[in-house]
Amino acid sequence: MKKTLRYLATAAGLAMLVAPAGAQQVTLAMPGDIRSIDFGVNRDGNTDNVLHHVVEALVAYRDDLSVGPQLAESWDVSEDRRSYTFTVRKGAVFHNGQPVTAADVKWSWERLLADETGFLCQKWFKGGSLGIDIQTIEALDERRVRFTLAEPNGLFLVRMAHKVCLTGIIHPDSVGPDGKLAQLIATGPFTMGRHEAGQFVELNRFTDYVPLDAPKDGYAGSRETFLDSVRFMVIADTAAAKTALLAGDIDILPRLDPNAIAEIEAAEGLGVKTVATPEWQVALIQNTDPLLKDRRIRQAISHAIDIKGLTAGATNGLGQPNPSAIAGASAFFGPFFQEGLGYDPEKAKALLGEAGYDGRAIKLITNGTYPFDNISAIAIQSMLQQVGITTELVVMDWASQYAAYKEGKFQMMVMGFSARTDPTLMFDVVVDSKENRANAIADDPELIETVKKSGVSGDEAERALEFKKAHQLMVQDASVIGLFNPARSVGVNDRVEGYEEWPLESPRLWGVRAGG
Amino acid sequence: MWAYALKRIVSAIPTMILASVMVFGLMRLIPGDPAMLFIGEIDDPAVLEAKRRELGLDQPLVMQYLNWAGGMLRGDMGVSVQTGRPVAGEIAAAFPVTAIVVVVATALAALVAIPAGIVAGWKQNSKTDATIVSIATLCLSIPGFWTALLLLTFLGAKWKLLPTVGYVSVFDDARAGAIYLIMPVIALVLTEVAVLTRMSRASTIEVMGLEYVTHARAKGMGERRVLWRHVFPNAFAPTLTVLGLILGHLLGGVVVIEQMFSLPGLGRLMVGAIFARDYAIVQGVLIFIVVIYVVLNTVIDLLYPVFDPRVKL
Repeated sequence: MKKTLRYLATAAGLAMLVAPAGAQQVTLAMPGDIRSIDFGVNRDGNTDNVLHHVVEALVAYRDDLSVGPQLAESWDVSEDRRSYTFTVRKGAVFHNGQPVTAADVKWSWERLLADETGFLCQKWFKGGSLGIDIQTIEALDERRVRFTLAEPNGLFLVRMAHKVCLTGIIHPDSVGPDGKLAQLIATGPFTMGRHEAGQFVELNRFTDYVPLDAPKDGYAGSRETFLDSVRFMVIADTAAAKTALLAGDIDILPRLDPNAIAEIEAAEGLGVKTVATPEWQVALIQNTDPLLKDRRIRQAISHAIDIKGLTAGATNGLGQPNPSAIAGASAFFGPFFQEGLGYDPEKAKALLGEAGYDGRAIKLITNGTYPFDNISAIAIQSMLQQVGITTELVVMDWASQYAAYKEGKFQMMVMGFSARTDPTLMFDVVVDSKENRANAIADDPELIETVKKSGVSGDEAERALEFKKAHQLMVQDASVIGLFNPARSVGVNDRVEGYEEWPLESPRLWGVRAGG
Repeated sequence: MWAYALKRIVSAIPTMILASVMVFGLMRLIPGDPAMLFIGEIDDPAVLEAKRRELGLDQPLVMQYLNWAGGMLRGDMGVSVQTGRPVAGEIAAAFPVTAIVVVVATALAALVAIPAGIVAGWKQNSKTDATIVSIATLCLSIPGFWTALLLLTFLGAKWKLLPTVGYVSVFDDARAGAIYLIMPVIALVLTEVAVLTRMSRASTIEVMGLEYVTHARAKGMGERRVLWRHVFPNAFAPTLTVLGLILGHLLGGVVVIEQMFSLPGLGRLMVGAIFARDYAIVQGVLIFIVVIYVVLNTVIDLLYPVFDPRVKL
């Protein structure tokens, strides 16, 4: 036994030798590898989280989900709200040392919008459903670049700052002779380092980075960096990731399992930070289904769900009940949006009687991948049972459920939508005509029109009114039943200073220091 | 022997064709669209259609199969839907990780289990036998993920003796690589040792009852010599078959172990690909596993006469 322990102790010593040296390195877990460096073209959440440290867009989201400066230190909007003139951050240089010019910005954007690039969000800026259409991009001088839209659109900056489709500015030398992205010569506070597929991605500090003269604020503001390197470690299993945090093999564990919060909080040298997110947990009802096309049955379902109780149970009391598409973290949010049809089992029973519901079972789809979906579905099944609605729970893997959702082939399902920073974008996920999109859920023409208007207007007060109207219409339609905005937690080793969670919950390793 | 090997390889061709049809067909039966999962939350039917075209998913199934099978025959396994990297490269990177864990674990398991099984069989119904069988049953009863969690918790998190995440190839750095292998190998050995011990014990008991063993003893041959000369060679052959099957099964990916210890092996590659409906990866890996089975079983068959002179190929 002694021998074994001695051997293991030696092994531990060797393990320390293997571990990367240097106090100013931080290791954090991510559940899967990055797909590519081709931002906006071949991406997923992990890819975005890593590449946002390397590549910068002109603008970015702040903590309060509004749009703030990033590579552009400022911008002006013309009176007709069609032209946006951005001024590139003073002193900004690419990773190859070249200064960032307005011409580089123009080149980057033209590359993104070219068909050959395969930018997944090209339509967001070229006449897609929300009507943004960039007509011209002009380099006015060394640092100023002007974008002109066909029509005014209140969502232009929101789309430009979007986390999913990073509209990054890169140096032309990033592209190989075949026109494909070969390397990332960008402007972020880190440069791409070693990438061991399936194991880790390492980023190194960009020493010539000149941060914005503004406080760190979401993805916007200063990105002053103190760490020499950052390692994103691929750990697919949540239990293994938690153990790695406890062992001190990783410093930061984003998306901490809610059931592990107490254990991490109790552990010496570890802490937990929790934040409310703009993600939205919903129950979707297919209003073309022979049974569920009757609005009274959908409203009965809505009345039967106690979203406060469900939220408390599903999120360990950390989530915020929310029947609306307006996130609790949004500046547009207020008490009005907390009003849904209301929990009223008696009214639900009355509506079912009126509609002549005959006890037919409704298939309620969920998945085993995301705990919030699964727990919410189980709670809903039980609540519906209380008013006499029979449901059959169908637990799929995520890919199967996603296909059913995209094709509109379901009766009822529970799922969570990832964060949309602007209410119009969240409404847009579920509101559209079914001819346009098979996965449109609420297709009331008045609602569709209201959502479109909310995106076009640049006036905040006007938009707020449109959101109220859209919320009321969606509640009455009852095809989309809002449940809650989940909170997300991150486990952090005490040696990491300055790491803060924010509503978009993407890691931010700038402004962070690592102790011994 | 070579004629036999050639015969086995030729007879594997229909197996491979059948396997390719099944692998291709089964993946298409599972709901989920690789193109849809690739583009994620971007709601743009035009982008979806373009991606489906790019992946060839807009073509009839027969054409899709012929394109894929034709590529395989030319040595082109296609590219991963998710990463765009060649499937062959992905397998080439993942297989050595799985192989080293599996080969080391199986060798260790065999070194422990075969003698233990022979002793248990030799001392059938004794306390020694009961102890060995009990330990084997216990090992068999504990799920792999539980063993892995215990190892991670105690050796990793509590005592901080071994790293809980990360991987270094033993070919790049033998000592560091060995450290990262300790926990996965222990977890795997504990599972596999049980199966092999029981197999080895059963074969030993069967051989011990045969007339030539009684004859050897009647001649006055010592027990050790009886065991070594007469029991072991004859009892080992069936264990070898099981060893081959275990190796084939494990080389196809030790999913739980790889997932728990964050090893970038074949099992984790496969699981990720199934969730992402990455057809090219799943099909490529499955065909690769079929090839492993065919090769291993052929090798085991060729080894049979070495251990059992009664077998002629």
